[in-house]
Amino acid sequence: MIPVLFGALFLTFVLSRAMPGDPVSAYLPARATPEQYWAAYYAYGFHLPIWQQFFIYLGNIFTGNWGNSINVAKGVPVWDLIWERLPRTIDITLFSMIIATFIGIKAGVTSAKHRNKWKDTVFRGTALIGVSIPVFWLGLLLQYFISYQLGWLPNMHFKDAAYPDPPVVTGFRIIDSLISGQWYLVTDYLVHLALPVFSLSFIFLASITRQTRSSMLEVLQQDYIRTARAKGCKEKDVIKKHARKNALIPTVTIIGLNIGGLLGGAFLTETTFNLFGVGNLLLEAITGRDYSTLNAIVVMTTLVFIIVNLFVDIIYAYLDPRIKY
Amino acid sequence: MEMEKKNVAIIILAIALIASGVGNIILVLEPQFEPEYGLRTVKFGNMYIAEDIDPQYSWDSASFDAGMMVWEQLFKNNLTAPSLGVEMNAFPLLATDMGTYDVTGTELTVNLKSGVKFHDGTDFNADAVVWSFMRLLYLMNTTWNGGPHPWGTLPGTVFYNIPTIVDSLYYVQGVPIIENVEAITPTQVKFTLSEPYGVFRALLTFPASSIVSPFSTPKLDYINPAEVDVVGAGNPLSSYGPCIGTGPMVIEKLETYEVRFSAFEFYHRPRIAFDVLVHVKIEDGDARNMAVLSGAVDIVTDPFFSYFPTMIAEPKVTLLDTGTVNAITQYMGINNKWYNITWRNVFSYAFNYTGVIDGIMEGYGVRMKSPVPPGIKYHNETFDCPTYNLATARTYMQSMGYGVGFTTDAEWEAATFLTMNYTYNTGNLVREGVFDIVEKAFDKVGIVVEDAGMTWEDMKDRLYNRRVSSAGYNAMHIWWVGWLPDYNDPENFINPLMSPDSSSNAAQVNDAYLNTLMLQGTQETNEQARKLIYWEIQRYVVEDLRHWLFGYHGMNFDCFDKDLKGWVGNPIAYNDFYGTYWAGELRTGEYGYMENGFIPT
Repeated sequence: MIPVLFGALFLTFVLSRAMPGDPVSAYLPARATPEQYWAAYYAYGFHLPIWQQFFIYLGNIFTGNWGNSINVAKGVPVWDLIWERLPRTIDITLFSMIIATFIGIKAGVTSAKHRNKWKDTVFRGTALIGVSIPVFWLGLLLQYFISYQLGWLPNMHFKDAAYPDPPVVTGFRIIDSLISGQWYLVTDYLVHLALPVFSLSFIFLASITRQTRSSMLEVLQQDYIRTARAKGCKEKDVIKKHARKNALIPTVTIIGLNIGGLLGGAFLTETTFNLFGVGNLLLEAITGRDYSTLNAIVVMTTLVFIIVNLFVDIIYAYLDPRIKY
Repeated sequence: MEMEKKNVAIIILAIALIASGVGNIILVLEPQFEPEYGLRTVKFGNMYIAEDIDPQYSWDSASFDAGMMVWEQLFKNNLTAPSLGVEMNAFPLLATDMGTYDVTGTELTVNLKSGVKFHDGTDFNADAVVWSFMRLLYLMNTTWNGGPHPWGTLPGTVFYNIPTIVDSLYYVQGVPIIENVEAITPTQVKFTLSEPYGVFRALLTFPASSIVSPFSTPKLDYINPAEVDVVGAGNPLSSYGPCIGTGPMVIEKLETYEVRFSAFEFYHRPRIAFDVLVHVKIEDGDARNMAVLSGAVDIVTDPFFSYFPTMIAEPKVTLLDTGTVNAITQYMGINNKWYNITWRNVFSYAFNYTGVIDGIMEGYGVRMKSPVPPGIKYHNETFDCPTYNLATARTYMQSMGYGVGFTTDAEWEAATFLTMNYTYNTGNLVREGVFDIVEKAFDKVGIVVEDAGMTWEDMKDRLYNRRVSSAGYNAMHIWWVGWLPDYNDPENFINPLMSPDSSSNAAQVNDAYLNTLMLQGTQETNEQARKLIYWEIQRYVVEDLRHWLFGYHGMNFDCFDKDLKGWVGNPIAYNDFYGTYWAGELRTGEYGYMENGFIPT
């Protein structure tokens, strides 16, 4: 874990500095003078060789100082910024993945069970649309039809701008609103998350459905399934007890990767729906050459991937007892 | 029996669980505790959000928009009435008059309003004015009254680590303009200037000239944006953070996604006619335009042209053609160091201006005919500004010996007399579009234009000559850029862009006659005499110098809820909500000049 994190940190540090663009130019107003430019350049240590900057950065990290944002939110410690945005990203990820996982697995199994029947055609068609349509385009369509034309749901942001924020206890808006007794903020939040969660769910539901269907079809050809049927097992039990569990292993991998990716930020969805999550922050950090913020997000995403992969491995062992670690 | 009891218990528990779940869902879907929102709220959707909220530091337009609801200056531009070609006028805001110069033109005495309160409840008076300007000069790390600043030297450990970036406006030829500010009486101050400076009244309308509360504002440091909404952060006297001005609204919260303000009940002019203002950051253009159409925000400025038909057809919103062009000058810079007046004449007549205005801007722009835009003091566009004329451009080429004897377009297009680069920042659709136009247009006079697209940060390095060795002014041949004014004075459109002393003079203009005129223009304090000087400057650069290609000014459009009234656009592009109100929600004593005939004095 440590070498992976170190590697990610090193690569991000070097690559971010190799990007075209200049953090000081991005940080200063357009009309700052050359003197002011160079003053800031030296103040932030950009004149030093990269290896020297890296070791200073590492030294700071070991003392708990990950640096302050220089562009996204000037002077704010990067982890404060990330912790402020992360709960929204977690909410979107969890809601989307729960919906996508349950419906996707069910749809994939049903599709495989009814191979080449109308149900299979419908699910496969929907899944094909899901994997083909860009998420931002789906978002725009939803905004136009559901929000503007029908007026059913708000089109953007995570709250009605007129509403206040609940007192921060956990950082999670739903929990904080409940703690403070402001139920209307919970409703408001859920209503605002509906369209982005639908967009993300739809995209991931498609990949989960396709993966589950293909694994199920493979498993259903296996000898032990034929044996189960031959010994008189009900078809329901054959699917539930013998086929589904075995077919889920590749699906779990897909789900794990999706969760890891989403927690690192669904920047297209967050930008389209103006959600101000980690993905949006990552985009702002890249465009603003906010190196400290960028590095911290990449490290966080790497850590999330490592943890999620660990869970995926544990789930493998549960799904297939032959797997031992 | 035992089994039955168990089943009953399970059923009861299941019912209770379901009931609780349903109850929670009902509570969530049908909230019983709606907030007491009788508050009249205006939600403004903007691409950017305020980054800084220190008036003596802020420079970006979103911070100005936020700041102008909180901070006030001695004078203010009347943003409420301008139309195409009509100049904005300044009026006394925290002052009672526009000040009187002494005979030397270096002392301006201004009388102040009495009874004005800061948001922290303390009094606005001459001492607060003196303190605010002392703070400005301290943050500029410069002198006070001819000697060292009494507050000491700006340490390198201040929040931003560098001197304030607004300071370049407060210098003339390297010398600080303001030498000293004295409180003559509690309601009268005297500014002593280092030399006569005709721009000074306009400079006093600029945000950095705001008057802040000495009791709440950090004296020796910038206001940290992270502390804005920390109660009492500036001073225990204050029930708010360190952002304490005299403006119509109090700032309550500054986040990376929104800024929230509430009405200041003890404002010295009529109370603002709504209760809460929220600036919402919506970076994505489509989301922003959809937000106003769907009612998520109440107003957006500069909506996309592609949304105009929907906005016009939508009864819930008003698409307002403000009747003004914005004061942003959009022009093609020419490196005067590399290209003499004959070349500049070739470029001026060979360029297809209509292609930019009708093609890229879809007709929503007007030709720029002077470096001083409409709506800005002393604007004059009666001079002979070059228009597209291929024959004239070719004549100038032939006067230099190029294309002599050519009679057909094919001959010109086949020849290459000059190769030059066009610098622009990729992703900027206007500047990318201009490349196509200039490439085709200049090809007709035998000039090859090469693509020099780059990031905005790299382009800024060239525009402001920051990395002189590798990418300063000299690396650019032609480029397209816009210039946003800081205040309503022609000097702001001339000197920074044409003075050899300015870091913004990317065109490297250095003309002796113009230099003399610019100096006269800044030193003259008589309005009539200044007007004549700036008319001559405009004539000279448009007819004789032709240091740029004069491009266009965009037209101001805003889209807002049909019930939102009192909104007016202005050429200087400040989004000032004082005067805006909801139809039918205007209360006695509140500001609503559009219906009630208030005049902003």
